[in-house]
Amino acid sequence: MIYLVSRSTLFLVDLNKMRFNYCSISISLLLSCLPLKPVIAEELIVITAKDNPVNIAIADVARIFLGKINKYPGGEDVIPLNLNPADPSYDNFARVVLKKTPSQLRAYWAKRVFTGKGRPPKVISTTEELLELVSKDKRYLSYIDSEGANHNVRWVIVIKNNDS
Amino acid sequence: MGLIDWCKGHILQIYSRGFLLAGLVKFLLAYMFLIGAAKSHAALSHNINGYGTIGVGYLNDDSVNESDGVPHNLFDRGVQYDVDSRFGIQGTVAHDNGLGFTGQLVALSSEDYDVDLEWSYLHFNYANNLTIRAGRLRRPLYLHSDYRRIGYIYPWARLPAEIYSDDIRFASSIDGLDIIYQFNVSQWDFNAEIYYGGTSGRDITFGEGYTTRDDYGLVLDVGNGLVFFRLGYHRSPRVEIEPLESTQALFDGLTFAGFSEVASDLSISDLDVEFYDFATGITYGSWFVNAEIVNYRTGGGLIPDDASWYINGGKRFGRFTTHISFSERRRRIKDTFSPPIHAQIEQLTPLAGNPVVDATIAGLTGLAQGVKSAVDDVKSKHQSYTLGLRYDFNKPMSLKFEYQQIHDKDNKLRNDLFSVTFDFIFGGSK
Repeated sequence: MIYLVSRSTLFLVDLNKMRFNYCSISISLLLSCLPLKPVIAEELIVITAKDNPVNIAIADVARIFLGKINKYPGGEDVIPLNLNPADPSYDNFARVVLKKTPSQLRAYWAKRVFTGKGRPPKVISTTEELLELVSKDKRYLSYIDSEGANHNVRWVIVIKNNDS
Repeated sequence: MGLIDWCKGHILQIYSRGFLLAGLVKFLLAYMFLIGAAKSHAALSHNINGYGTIGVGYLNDDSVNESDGVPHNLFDRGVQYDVDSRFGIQGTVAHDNGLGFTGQLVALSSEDYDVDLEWSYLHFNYANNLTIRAGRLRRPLYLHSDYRRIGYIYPWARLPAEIYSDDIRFASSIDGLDIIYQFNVSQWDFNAEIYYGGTSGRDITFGEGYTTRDDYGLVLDVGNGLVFFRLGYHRSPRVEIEPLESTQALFDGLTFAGFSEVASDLSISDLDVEFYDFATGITYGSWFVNAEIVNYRTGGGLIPDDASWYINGGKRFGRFTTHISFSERRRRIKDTFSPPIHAQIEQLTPLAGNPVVDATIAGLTGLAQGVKSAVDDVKSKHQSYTLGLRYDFNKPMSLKFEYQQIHDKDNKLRNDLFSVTFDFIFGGSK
């Protein structure tokens, strides 16, 4: 880190008129040397259709996504939908809401899948498709990061992202 | 034998084995047919999921395995690649209405990769609370029994041998019916499972083959995400074991000599076996502790009773998990045979002096000694201490390093087992 900063300093030390740029370049070089964190949005939003007035606790959202309950608190059917596992919000949701690491979640579903006791929620490949589906049917329950969310769906719960 | 030679040998074995090829081909054809049906029918979905383990182990000495005639594990002395390695593949076709079919093929290196259809069942899911399965299923005897093939799920390189061994293979699967009812009471999730069926197979520790009828069991488990409890009771009331040639010769000899009652008492066919299981565990943040205790009673005969338990605890550090376990097995045969033999000897002793009587007494004494020796041989106490380290990759794969000390407490023997296993799972829904 210091090596790169000193290199940039040497390179720019002759360019008087570039003094301002020297500052910003060295700062960005400094920052680029820090360990990269995956870009996660500030918040995770649990979403459903606009015409679904349901109130649901985070603990129940977790149990729905773990296949332990399949009804909303009011008794209506609920169908959970997962994001693509490649999306960083998938792991984020697992950690924050389901309280499992990605490998613990895989082991959890492997136990069920290979003994015929259950299947994980359906995976929707793109966020556009997900938002489209969720907005159309109030049985669908899903989650998305605040960057990707729109207002065609109802934001049921907003979960602040804690760095953990 | 080097690793390269082992790989070559096993790959050749796999591809040249008629069974494996035929089995795979049949499975794939059936599956493709079902997928074809699924694709043309919007309400059908299909999945392929699979798993595997590649493992190598080094056992420094097999004295414990040899000590009581029934091996503690499948290892021989030295380095082995063909104990833990195994692969499985599962195909499911399901309709939106909840009805589906699943088949799972398994190939174990310890069985020369002979492909076995371990699961093959119709399933119906009603309202997500009720699951009914009919066909061939693995029996949910103990906590990890029905998913014991999938190494990725549990922290150990292999499940504690004191409980999860092949000695009770006659109780590892059923062809029958299984019902699971799932419900919750506030934060507690309950699962109640009940099943009924029978099975048959070959290659069992104590005999040539086995057939069981009217097997049943009940499992109740409850958890709240932090702590769980599991209670199970299982029974195999009519287990028929085809005795090994040597054992059959012994029974024939006894019957011929006029001891048919003793022979039938000693007989290992027609058993009524009961299994009891209790398991519990806590997961608190990155810490976890689990324990399980089991008991099975074979209701007499030459097959022993076992009382076993283990405790396992560990902590996760990011992608690493370290854990430590202690497990124990106490095995014994309930000796109901010696008393009648001794009673007979007592009856005949006053008549001693007559050469025929003397010969009979000598024969009976020899028999009593033989029975006592067999009972003493089987009586054993084994303990294992295990230390393990697991690394989880970004993908669904894990690498485990494990050191295990196996003790035969009665004979004061100790063996060390080192293992490295690589586990993976794959597949998804469509």
